[in-house]
Amino acid sequence: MRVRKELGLGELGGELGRLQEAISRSASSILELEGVVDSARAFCPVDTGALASSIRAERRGPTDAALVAGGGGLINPRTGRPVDYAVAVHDGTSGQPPRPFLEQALYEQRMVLAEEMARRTAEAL
Amino acid sequence: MAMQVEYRVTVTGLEEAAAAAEAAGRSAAQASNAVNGLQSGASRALPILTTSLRAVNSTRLAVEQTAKALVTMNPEAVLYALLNMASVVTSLTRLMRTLRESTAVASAAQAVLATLTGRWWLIPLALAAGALVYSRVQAMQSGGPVRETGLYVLHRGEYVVPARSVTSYGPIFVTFERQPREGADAEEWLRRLGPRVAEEARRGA
Repeated sequence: MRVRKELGLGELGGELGRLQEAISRSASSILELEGVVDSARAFCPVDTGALASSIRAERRGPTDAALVAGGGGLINPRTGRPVDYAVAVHDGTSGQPPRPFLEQALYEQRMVLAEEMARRTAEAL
Repeated sequence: MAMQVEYRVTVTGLEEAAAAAEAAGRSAAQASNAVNGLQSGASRALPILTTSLRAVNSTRLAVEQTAKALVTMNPEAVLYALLNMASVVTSLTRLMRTLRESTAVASAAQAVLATLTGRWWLIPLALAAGALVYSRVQAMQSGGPVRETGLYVLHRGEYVVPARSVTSYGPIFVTFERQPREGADAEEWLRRLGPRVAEEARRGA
């Protein structure tokens, strides 16, 4: 992506002043974790789809978010029980290998987050 | 057992980036004032084209290299790019000295800026990243645990166990961390690391 903007020297100071706000807004925006949630759902093993549906991003502060799987009030339609097996699926058990779908998504998307932040910063200027 | 798995995603370093942008903005305003002052006093025109082109080209190259180094998160490339940025600052200083003797101040300055406009917003980030990298590069000569987050100079033959996951964009770090952070969780992860490394080694990864 390329942004072109022609400026006189006199305008450059003002533009750079706006950069601070643009950086903060883009950081806040990437913490919505949209791509990471999609990626985690794609990596998540699916039986009824309840676990994949429980994957979500939760904002915890201006510069904090959490990628969460399990809980959230969702019910597994087959068992009628809450989705309380996220840890067992993600980390594995003695009889079941780990399927670390959240970790896979974060690794896959980590540079996308950085590039998105740069792109959104540029777009805001 | 906990009902849910949670990874905390945190963005840090925004203050440093904002401070760099503010400092760059102040420098630009000062430069603008200086140029305006020079414009008002007409003097002789000097051939500045060659110097301008050299400065513009080296600046463009350095900014491109720095941007690439930041995106690929290659510490060696970041340091290399930083050296180029230092050279650019020198060459821009030389250009400004030449400009002070010219009546073509405004057009030359705008030519420089127009050439940079493709990625000009990266300059303060790049400078901030460079400064941060330079100030935070640390050595692990005597080995041991990594007590502070940062960049380290490592040598052939040294061995590093990777932390969970950290990526960065210049001075801005995006950190992923498994929650909760109790010691038992970390110990569990370390217990699982051994077999994982062995499996990857077996696969030739």
